[in-house]
Amino acid sequence: MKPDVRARILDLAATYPTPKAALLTALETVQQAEGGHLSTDSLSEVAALLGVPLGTVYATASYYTMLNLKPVGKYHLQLDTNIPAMLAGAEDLLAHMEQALGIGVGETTSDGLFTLSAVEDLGACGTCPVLQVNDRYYENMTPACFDELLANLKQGVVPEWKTEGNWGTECNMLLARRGKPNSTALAGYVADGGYQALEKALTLSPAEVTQMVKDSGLRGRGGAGFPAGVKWGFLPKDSTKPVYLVCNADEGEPGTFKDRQIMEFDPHLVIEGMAISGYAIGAKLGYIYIRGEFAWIADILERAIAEAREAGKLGNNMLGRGVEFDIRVTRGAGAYVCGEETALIESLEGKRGNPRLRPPYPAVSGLFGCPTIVNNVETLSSVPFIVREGAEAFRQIGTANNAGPKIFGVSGHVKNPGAYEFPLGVPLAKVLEAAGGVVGNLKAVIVGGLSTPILTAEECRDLTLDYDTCAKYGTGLGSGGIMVMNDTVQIPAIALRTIQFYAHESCGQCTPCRQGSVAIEQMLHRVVEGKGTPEDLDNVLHLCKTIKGNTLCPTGDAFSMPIEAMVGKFRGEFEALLPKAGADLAV
Amino acid sequence: MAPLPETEVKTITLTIDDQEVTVPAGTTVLEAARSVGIDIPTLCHDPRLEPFGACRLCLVEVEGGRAPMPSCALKAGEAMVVKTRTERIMRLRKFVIELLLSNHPLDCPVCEAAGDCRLQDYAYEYGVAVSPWGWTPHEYPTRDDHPNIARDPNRCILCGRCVRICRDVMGIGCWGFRSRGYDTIIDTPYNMPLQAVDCVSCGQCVSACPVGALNMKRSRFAARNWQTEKTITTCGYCAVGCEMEVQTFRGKVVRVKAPFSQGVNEGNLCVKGRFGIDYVNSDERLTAPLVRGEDGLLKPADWETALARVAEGLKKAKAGGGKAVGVIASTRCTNEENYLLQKLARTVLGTANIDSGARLNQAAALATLRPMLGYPAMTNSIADLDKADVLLVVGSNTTEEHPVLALRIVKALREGKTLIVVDPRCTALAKRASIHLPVKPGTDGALLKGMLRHIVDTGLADKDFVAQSTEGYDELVSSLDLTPEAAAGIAGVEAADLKSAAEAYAQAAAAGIVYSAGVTQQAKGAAIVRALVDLALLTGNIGRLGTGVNSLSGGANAQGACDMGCLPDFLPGFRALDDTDGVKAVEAAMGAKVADKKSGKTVDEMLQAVAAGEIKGLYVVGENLSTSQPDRDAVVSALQGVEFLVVQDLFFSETARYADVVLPACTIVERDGTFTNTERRVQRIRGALEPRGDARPDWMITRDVANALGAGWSYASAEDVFAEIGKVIPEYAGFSYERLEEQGLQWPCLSSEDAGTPVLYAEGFPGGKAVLAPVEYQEPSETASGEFPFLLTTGIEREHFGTGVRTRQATGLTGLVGGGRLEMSAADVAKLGLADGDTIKVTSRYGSIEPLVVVGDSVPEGLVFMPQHYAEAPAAWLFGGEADAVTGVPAMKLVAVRIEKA
Repeated sequence: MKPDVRARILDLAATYPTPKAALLTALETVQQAEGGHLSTDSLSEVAALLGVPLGTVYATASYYTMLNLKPVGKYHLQLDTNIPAMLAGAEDLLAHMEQALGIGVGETTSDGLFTLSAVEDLGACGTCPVLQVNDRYYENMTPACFDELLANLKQGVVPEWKTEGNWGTECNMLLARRGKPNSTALAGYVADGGYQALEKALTLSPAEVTQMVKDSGLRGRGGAGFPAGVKWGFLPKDSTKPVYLVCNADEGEPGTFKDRQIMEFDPHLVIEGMAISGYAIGAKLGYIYIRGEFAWIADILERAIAEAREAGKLGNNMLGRGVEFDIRVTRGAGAYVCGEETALIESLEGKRGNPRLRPPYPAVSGLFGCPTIVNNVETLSSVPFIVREGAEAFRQIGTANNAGPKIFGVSGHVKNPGAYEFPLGVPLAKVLEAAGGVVGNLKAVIVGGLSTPILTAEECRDLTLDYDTCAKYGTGLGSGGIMVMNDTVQIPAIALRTIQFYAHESCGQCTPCRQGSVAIEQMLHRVVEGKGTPEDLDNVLHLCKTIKGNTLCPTGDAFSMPIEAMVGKFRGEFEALLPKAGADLAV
Repeated sequence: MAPLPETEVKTITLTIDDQEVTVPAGTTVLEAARSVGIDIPTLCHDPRLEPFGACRLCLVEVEGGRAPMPSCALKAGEAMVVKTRTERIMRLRKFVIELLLSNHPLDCPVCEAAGDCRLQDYAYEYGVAVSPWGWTPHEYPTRDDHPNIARDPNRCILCGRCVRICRDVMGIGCWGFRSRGYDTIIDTPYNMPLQAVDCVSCGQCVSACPVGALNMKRSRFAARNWQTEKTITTCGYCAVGCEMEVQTFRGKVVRVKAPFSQGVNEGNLCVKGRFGIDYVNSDERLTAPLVRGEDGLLKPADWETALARVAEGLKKAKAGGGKAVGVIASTRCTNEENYLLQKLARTVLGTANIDSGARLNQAAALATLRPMLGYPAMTNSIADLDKADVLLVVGSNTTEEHPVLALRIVKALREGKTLIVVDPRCTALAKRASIHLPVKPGTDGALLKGMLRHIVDTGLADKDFVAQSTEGYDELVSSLDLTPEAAAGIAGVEAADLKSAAEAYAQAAAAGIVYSAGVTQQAKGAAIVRALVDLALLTGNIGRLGTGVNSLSGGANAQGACDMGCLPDFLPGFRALDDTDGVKAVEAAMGAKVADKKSGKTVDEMLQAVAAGEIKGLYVVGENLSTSQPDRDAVVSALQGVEFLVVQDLFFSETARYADVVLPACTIVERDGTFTNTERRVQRIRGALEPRGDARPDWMITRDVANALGAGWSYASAEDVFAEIGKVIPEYAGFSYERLEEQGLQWPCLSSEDAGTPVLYAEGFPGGKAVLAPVEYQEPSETASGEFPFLLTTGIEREHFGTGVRTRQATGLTGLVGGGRLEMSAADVAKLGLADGDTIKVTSRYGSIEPLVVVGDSVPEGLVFMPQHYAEAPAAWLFGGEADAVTGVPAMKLVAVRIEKA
């Protein structure tokens, strides 16, 4: 390991309460410095530097998909093949890429230039297909684009191709500054009234700020919809330990690409939201845990944080008022489960992202065993408005019990997939209309990201998008990732791809999720291949019913509920794939 | 003495399956249910580990709760109503078993775990033959490259107990989960052999595995769990006193396990305990007495002949008076055996020349702890160590010497407690310590002076305690003639570290001291122990949980050997020979007169007395003097020169070669008795096998020798002897085999109502006040010089014990580490132009040996280390026999040597 890398790791280690916590970041640093993979020697060195057993280092490295224990080509081509990508033609593109490169998935070209991987959701559902080359995204990919990209790469040129996704806003809050030139700079943010909410918050007591957030009715935008102010209220009153605020930016739920819209184009909104929230809960330090694939967005955040710190908006004397709060950005390394708050905390501590047993809940014992509040990007970004304009103004947006704006990410079979901000309670039809309308005949919609049960076209006709109505319709608003499917889509294929995703992402810790996801995958695979039996379908439903509610973290629910809905609502399509009686004898 | 008053424990009452259960607050629902006999199935739960909640087998329903909860992690709540066997729960349990069987090999007929496999048990109980949705086993390669541990990852159910016990309980971390999801496999990093990844071969991972994924390789296909007879007994190696379950089948020991529910070890064992017992099965065992014939050769004989010869030889030797006979006892022997041996010496042979290897660790306790505090023993309990906020470990490589006790220190570390290690070597604990003071060998006394002075100077002494409970403060203070800076300079440590160690120790709410052979085997060991007692007294760290001066004894029954009076100057119960009333009381209880009331000789003095012609007969039980003692030439010539030598042992040891009669003894699994461990806990050992051949239990041999000399003893069992011990030693008066049945009791235990004493001095000191003693420090006599440029220190390795008489016959141990080796820093190895593995010649002023050299990171430049166990290169031979003037312990920790390629 080079001395500068070693020095950087030691510097990193010093920024955590325990050097061990720097493990994941250290591994990412080493991999980047050493040509894309982690050698045996570097793992041993990291182990020695941080005082972590080699077994733990190895276990952690092998957990995350972005960490490579084997060498990869100079350009690691990673194509998102999850459902939104599938709906946008990623399967054909993959075939094209294999042909153009002359290698299959998981292989490296003989010249060592290219490794091809098919990966899970990259958080670019509105701009699919998306190809990640090392740490750069190329969105809206087509076979022709790929050929051009390949020609560039072969000549050692990594082109700068910026993709501007579709977007629209009715609320002008979360996406208000989208489209403004240089929207990430502090000056523009301040010119647009930014950091006034923080000014105001610091004139109030932390309890008053918390009360405002409680009164606003702001519900967690990560998917669960739990009231944010109530969550803050779970912090122990008498603890002497430091309190941490963690911003969950591990946007990985297939169909979801909303948080990146805020972080990439209006990073100071999140930062101000965190500063206010940190003040309210008594935290001096906040972490943004961002999925590792969003490397350039993490860079944007880091620059914005540095700028804010420079301007005294963060640091040990915020706005000159003697209040301390700072933010650090930590990058994940490829693990869906780390979006679950306790797994996220484990990952932030540098470990495998295995969810923790609850209780204790993070508010009582979270990061480094200290009281911790984990909130989603969109949740925290709503806080400045609430403080500036008042809880009542926020409640005016949306419906009763479902206050405020929400960004909906629309992907799949619509004319203009993209991110659209509407008040909660907006009719689904209105959102689809904003996205240019359905292409073809609508067959089904998943409204809250892949973990929510699918709705048939019939079912969702009058649906309005808020937490309570979605629940009433037997689904969930979740993260607001809307995947639209027309009648060219075969639901069994979607179901198989869904369970493949969850089987791939299961942390493997608890029995029902680890064993059950694969059992379902095996059975659906048989069915889709035309080798299934009616018992397979019954067994899939039996497994889904039994797994639901009985896993260590919500991941078991995240696949058992949607699969149950797909098989239940479209059983005919599955049965049509079963061999006819006696058919196997004829083969 | 009464036990510590229990602190008020809050209780919780809940209802489980309509049964009201009251448990201490903090108990889990699982523990609460099991405490009243309600069984909840578990796979990932292990009482030694934190809850994991992953197998989902222990789910229960809680009234008012939304989803089932894992009972292993769920804390019992007041008025909680729990149902463990609802239709839903039973269905879920069956489902989890179905899921696990969907890829578990169904090879029970040849699986080592069959009959002792939780998955098999539950599949049977819940009637799951195979998963309804198919069976797709993994096809992982199996691994067989560790001498004791075999692995079949296909059978693994990913409960993670092996990962967690190695990482959390052992503090090592050989195992890890690799990959994730269904592809998760438990593996070593890069699939390396276990021994290449810091494995200490403890087999804790095997003990944690609920299925057949990790097996004890040596007992594969030996016997099913249900075929074996199981005997709970106490380990016979070190002084921790781990409880173990010995499984025997067809006259042989098959395997060793440890029950989770009881014993100081709570289910943990070290490599020796788990894999070190098959010396019992060795073909090298002595199975008949050997008598030296007129041709000078040792030949098998019957007991009658052998005993007659012993009686004749000893009678002849003592013709000139009892003082002409010496008796050497063993820490391997039980209290009963040691008691009888000293009784033989004092009342039949008429000599006070009785001593044992226990001296090495215990003499300092007798010379310091007893006069300063009251009792010559560890003040607190093993379970106390993790209650300390600060632990000061001096001269104890605990993870190697007392591996299972060290787990308490590892636990304390895991809980964020402060550990201070004083050791010239960077031991495993030193590596993890908050402060490591790498003291120059032999300068501990100076270092402690500096710490004491700093505590006094900074006003951190506990003045109230000192005033109320101690005397000698002024004398102590006036002896503190080294400033912290000067002390640090002598000891070769940073003054700042010395000061912060002193401050941390003095300021802790509860601070404990642990010391062991690294102190007591120094030339000035007793002086160091005095300073440690001063530290504790000066700061009031005594008589409470988590405090104390914890002297770790050496062999399994080192404490007991001393308690029983196998000492030249003390009778049973530490009654000094010049204490007339004490002697009378002992004589009355023994029913015999103590013939020799002058102090006898230590082991080394006896050997010297042989050379001087004063001792003519030696009776050596279980000690291997020719390897363990310094000044080898003198030892060998004494053994050769003594007129009559009886050796009683399990094997034909190096010492037995010189004997006139060799008496075959029984191993720990072939006899009954009691051991007293380091925390004063008296525990049972129990016979599981018949004696091998003509071998006899040591107590029986000693009885028979006494009777051959005309004593007329009528003890019919070890228990008979124990009953007499209770009459002789007041601290043992409350014990009986019946009372010791469960997990033993700690002395003092004065009556059958007394529950024993976990913490000494909780209610004050026996002499009213404790004594602060002045601290002496003298420069070590051994220093590196031009001719002998290296300092050599010695110590213990976890794989072996003593001189290896037993451990080097145990195939589970012999394959793990090499033989006689000297550890040297890479820099010194390079400087001498040596290579790792070279045979070298090590020469001191007193002797020379030829071990291999290995590069190691525990020693700084200029210091080398050798383990003490190896007859082919006994480190003891490098020492000149200098002994601590106070304790008579031969110095074995520091000698200057020259090293060259052999």
